[in-house]
Amino acid sequence: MKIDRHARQSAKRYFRACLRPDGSLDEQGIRDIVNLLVAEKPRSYLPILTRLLKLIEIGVEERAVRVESAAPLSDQGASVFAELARRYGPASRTSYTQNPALLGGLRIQRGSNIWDGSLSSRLERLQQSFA
Amino acid sequence: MLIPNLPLANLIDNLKAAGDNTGWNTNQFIAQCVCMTVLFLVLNQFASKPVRAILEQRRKTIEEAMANAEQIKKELADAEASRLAVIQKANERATAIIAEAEKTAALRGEQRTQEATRQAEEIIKKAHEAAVLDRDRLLAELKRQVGALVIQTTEKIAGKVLTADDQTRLNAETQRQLSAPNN
Repeated sequence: MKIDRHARQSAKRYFRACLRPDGSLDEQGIRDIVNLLVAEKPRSYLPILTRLLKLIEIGVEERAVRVESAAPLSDQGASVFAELARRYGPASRTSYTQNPALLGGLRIQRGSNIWDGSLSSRLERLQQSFA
Repeated sequence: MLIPNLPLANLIDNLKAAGDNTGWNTNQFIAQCVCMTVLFLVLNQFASKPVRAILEQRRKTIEEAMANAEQIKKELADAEASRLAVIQKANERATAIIAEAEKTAALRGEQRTQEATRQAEEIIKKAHEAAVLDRDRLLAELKRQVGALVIQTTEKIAGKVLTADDQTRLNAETQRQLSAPNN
């Protein structure tokens, strides 16, 4: 579906209206806006909804936090999630996994930001320096 | 015998008398003169004139032939002179062409020599560059393989030798990165 400039701008405006002051997404606000668009059916409402869905997906992914550790963490990464929420606001989604392939240390990802202190990444960087 | 200066009648008479005395017959003489004159005229008209005409024609033909021969001789001389001039010119041209060809050949030879020298230098340079690249590539490959071996060994060992304290320390390092002010 081709999304024109008007639909992009409208979707961006609706998306901003769905954000709370701390930057998190207001799920109820999103539902209200989607219901309103479906009911009113303004011009280009389908492209607007498509673009809005894409923006919401990006917003969710930007606030999703993923923690991996080589050894199991006693608090299941809660301290990391709390620190990230304190610094960047609440996460849209959190996940913790144990990954022995890391060999040691943690790998934290929030959206496009990655803090990788794992031993495997250090060895990989070392290998890249050899290459 | 002397003939006296007498009138014509006397002369004829005297001639008749003399002829009578010496066997001379004036009438016959006159008739012979007339016959000779007529014969002369006839011969002149029908024999001598055509012969003279033929002779004149032959003379003209001979003159023309001689003139033609002279003309031919002159033309032959001119042709010979032209031939010599052409040969001389051809010789000069051939000499110039040979000189030019020798000059061009020398120049081409020099160019070929320079080109061969340049190509040889280029080949040597490329070979040197290829050798350097090959050496660098081998060194990089060696470095990469040694690095991969070291890392592979480290990975195998690290999984076994890292204690719980090491894991806690590594986790704390990452969390400190997270808490760093510039993040």
